[in-house]
Amino acid sequence: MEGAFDHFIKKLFSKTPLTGVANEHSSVLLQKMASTKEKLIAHVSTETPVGSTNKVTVVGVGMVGMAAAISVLLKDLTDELALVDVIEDKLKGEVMDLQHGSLFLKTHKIVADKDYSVTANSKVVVVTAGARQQEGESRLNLVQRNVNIFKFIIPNIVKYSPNCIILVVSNPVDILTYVAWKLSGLPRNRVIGSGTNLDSARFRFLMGEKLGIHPSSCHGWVIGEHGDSSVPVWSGMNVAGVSLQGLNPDIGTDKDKEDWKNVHKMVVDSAYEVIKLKGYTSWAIGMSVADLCETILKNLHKCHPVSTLVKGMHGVKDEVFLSVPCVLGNSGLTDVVHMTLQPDEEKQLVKSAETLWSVQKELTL
Amino acid sequence: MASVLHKLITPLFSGPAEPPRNKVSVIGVGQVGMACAVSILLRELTDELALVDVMEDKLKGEMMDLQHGSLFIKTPKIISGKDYSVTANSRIVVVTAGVRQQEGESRLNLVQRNVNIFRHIIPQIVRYSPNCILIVVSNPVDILTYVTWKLSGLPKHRVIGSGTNLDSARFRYLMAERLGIHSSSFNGWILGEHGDSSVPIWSGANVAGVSLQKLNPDIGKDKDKEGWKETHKMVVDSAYEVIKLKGYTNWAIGLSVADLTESLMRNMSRVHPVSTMVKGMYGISDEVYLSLPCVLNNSGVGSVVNMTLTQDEVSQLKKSA
Repeated sequence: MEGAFDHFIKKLFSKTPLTGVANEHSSVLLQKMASTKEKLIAHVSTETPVGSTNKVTVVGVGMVGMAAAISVLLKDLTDELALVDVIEDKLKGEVMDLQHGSLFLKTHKIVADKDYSVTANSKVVVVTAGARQQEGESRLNLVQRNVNIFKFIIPNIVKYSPNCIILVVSNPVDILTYVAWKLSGLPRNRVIGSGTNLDSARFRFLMGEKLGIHPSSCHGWVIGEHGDSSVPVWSGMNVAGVSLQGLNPDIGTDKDKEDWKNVHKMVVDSAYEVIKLKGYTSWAIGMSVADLCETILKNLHKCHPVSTLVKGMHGVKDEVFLSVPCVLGNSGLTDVVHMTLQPDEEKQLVKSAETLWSVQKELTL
Repeated sequence: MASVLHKLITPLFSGPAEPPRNKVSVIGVGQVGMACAVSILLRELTDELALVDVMEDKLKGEMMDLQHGSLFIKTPKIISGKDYSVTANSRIVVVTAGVRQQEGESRLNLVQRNVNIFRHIIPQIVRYSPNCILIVVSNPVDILTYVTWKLSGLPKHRVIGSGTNLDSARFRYLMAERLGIHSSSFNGWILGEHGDSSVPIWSGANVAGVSLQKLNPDIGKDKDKEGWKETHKMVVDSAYEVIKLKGYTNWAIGLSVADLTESLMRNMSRVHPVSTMVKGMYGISDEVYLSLPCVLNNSGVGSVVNMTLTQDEVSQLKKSA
């Protein structure tokens, strides 16, 4: 290769008084003057490099946070990934482990710190941090503990990424999305809860198993509160546009001979079951978060069931967050799809809203 | 009364299901095994994934968690079981099972314990997938790959150890960071024994074909003013450091195994530094496994690249053997 090396030799000869003296002495000087890097690479750009264009931050490097991180990395969604947590050793270990895999990834910059300055200019911030429910702990107490954690996290996020979209995953997700929205001061389109995105994915998986079809071809929406009182919208279930309720009007009711209602029950139970078997859930929620990030970062305008402010919809009067089908893009949650719900489905949503509000109004924000 | 299924769908073909074409099995669902599984799934390399372990609850929980993500991936069948029949017809089997070193335990003792585990695992794998390629990840990987080869009765080109694939990836990352480029644009190989006595091949380190050793003949030596040898030391230390910080390593090894799986599954004939049987090469007369640049395709190790090594590098390899 003629290039840089010879160029440097020529340059050297023209500057030193040793002109005309052959290699040995000059090359010793060369080594003193230019490092291997300088010999190899000539910097030509005069501009300051542009920062990242689609940075993702994950707050909390527990099992869920890391599953989200690896899913985002493997889907090539971002050019910069930042991790934040309070446990410094664990955080450093995780970021090193990811960096060591750089050869196999297309995300050039993977950083981590306890300090939120590392999250600056993020497009999407995924919040997985929070306490888990202790034995015998009331839900309200868990929520208040998590509110206190969010009081530290959320303002820090907004300080360094005032234009970001916050994706809340920590549970109870609907309440904490409300909390994040209040604490952030961001408009409602920029604070989204992962909500029933995962419940719907589980529902479609189970539906697919029953029909022998891939989940992506089975359509079914689970909305409302993420967890025990989520609402499966039986009227919307279809394959290739063929309504399952049209084929089986009893679907989802107690008198249904095929017991499709059990599919929804399995969705509600599955989180508890996986936790009982392996201690926590991570992979499914991680993949579903990456799925949401993809829609947001690539401005796809896809519909996802995610948690948003539903006051004024479906008879809900309180300022609460519940999951409904929403259109997501790079400015966040831009539109809501208005579902045609049965009266009892709407009643369930209103009831969930009342339960959530009764908890929310007791919180000190 | 016809069920919803019958009303909705008219079957055209009711024979038995086709066997899987690109099945991967992962033995051991610890942190490393699951990182391998997730990386393989998200890279869309397989149409069927099987998980095996002895801890049945953990195994079922992991399988369910992956299945719940089915909507987002392109692997339609994810199964698991304590019984190896679930691994039948695998093209590739990744072995991550094994015990970790206890406090004060000698390496020999650790190896013996793992050999006893492999005596149970390997014959079962081969029984259900006689034509598979085995990738051994469990440590000490070079020794255990040898053990696997002996226990499996498979030809040597179908038993691979993940070897220095990860060490090389770490090396390329650290070197590239120093130079301000992406790891894939820096070419450098670490061969030999995975771990403390791995051999960095400085003569091969290059960017865009420009040999770093030609620019800096002292590279990798103690007298090197720029301290490039330190970078290799960091590679050796990095595993210990990550373990000290977070308790284990998994993401990097998972990604590197998925990379190997891709070359094997897609018949790419890419060159990777993996652990293979080196008797007869570089003057090594023992039957051992060490990492050398191997061409990987769908039959396993198609061939080995003959590197021009310095005397010093050859003697280091022989010493490991």
